[in-house]
Amino acid sequence: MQKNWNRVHRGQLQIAETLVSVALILVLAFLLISATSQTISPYSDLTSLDQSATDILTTADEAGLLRPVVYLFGDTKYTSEFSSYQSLLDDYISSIISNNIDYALIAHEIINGTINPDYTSLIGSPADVAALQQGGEGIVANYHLGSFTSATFGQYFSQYLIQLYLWEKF
Amino acid sequence: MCFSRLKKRRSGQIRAVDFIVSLFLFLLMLSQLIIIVINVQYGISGTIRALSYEELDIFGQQLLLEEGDAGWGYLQDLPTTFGLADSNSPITLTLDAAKIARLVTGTSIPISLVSGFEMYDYNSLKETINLKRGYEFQLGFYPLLKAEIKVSASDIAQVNVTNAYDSPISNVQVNFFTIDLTNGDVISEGATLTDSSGHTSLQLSNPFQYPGDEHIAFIIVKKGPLWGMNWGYPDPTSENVIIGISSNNAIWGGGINSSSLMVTDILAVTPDSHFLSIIYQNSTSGYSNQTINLATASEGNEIISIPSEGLVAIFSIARTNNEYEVVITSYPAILDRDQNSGIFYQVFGELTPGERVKSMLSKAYPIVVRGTLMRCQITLWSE
Repeated sequence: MQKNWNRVHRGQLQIAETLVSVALILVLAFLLISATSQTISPYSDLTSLDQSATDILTTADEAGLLRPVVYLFGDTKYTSEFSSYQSLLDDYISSIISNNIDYALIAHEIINGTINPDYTSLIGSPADVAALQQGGEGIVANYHLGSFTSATFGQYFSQYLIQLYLWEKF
Repeated sequence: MCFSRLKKRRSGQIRAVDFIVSLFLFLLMLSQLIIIVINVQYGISGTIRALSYEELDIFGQQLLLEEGDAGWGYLQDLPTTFGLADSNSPITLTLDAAKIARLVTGTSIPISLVSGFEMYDYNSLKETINLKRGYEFQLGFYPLLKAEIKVSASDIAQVNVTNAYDSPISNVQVNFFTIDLTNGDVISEGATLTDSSGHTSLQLSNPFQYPGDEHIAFIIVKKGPLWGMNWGYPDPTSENVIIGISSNNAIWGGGINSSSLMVTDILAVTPDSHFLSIIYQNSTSGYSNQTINLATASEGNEIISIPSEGLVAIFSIARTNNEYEVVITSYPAILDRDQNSGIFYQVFGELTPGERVKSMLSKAYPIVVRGTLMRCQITLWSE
């Protein structure tokens, strides 16, 4: 009886030792990983774009690429001009961001100071934007447009919140 | 009997606990040792700290959003405070082409000797911007469109236009030029649009066979404010035509003011003939050109009038003992990491990071220069 009791306890002790050893190995693995990560910090391309998403929109506006796309959208008089500017803006954004980043550009109209939750999808898929809005991993840059005056296209006075969504391709 | 068995069991348990504690301490020490070994390997005493994108952005803003001394791009002396921003648009990433032109390095013959305009060298700029000790950087300026041209033996120019990641760009206007090396004349051959695969071609009217018809082909590709440029010559290239910056020449285009460009051209030898040819965008979005005959002068310092916006391509053509040397540059200047075409300037700063790089980050900034779009690539690292 006493022998059996000893055997059982010895077995339990061995199991406990094994568990402690496994736990220690895991601790070691964790320490090794943290040691490595201290020397080589992994940065995704998305991290680098966090700040420059706004630069992309600001520079696009400075170069006269953004407003024609926003204000000519849906204007039946300028369908081909809209397509041309949209292609130009698309080429510009794809030239700046990394190949493994995808993007979408949307516009919310601002009516009486309130942002209309409905939006116009200017570039990219609305489904992707919806996925990001529902908590998908990505970044978004906001940019306000107040009006558009052009000798060719006339004057537009609507206000828009432009959002550029960026996320890593899978 | 029973007591001695109990004693043995207890001592066994104690030994096991001792073993576990000592193993834990050993592993802890081992992991710390690994950290120290890695630290030593990277040559760092003290704590290792990786660069952050915030640091890179602060550095980028210092270079690209600061103006420096007022209008320094047009002054011969270098400023006491540095910044590449155009004074008219200091908030956005709009840069001054005259300031970028002062970052030209890699020419064997000092341009400042003839132009009178001082150029930055890497160490003097590091000092001016007060860069932290142990930090190095590289600054490149690239057009957003990559243009490749191949001229066949039958004088057909095949052009492919892509973005920086080799994706084809359609509906790009390609303007074809041929430049007569015997007299510097620029001949506009026509313009075509790229198809959905970014390709277009044109039969050139000026033949390239040497001797007798010494020409090179040149293209400027544009889609709105996006652009690129490149030269072409049939394969195999004639041994009598050498294209690219060498130890025998230097060329530079810098701003005198927003509508005047100083073109400086220096040769190490006295040529038999020497021409400066310039192609620039005119106010109606077409292209104009100008040729200056420098005869047998080994250097030229010419001021030409240009519109305040748009591209300029500058060619120096010198003939010595029936050999043509052609050097090409642009305004705004292209500072190319790979110098893939062999005609534009090299990047500013360290060409390649050293072996002791601890942490390195790189980022592309979209910039506006003379109303056109370019990409400024800033790479920052610590050693």
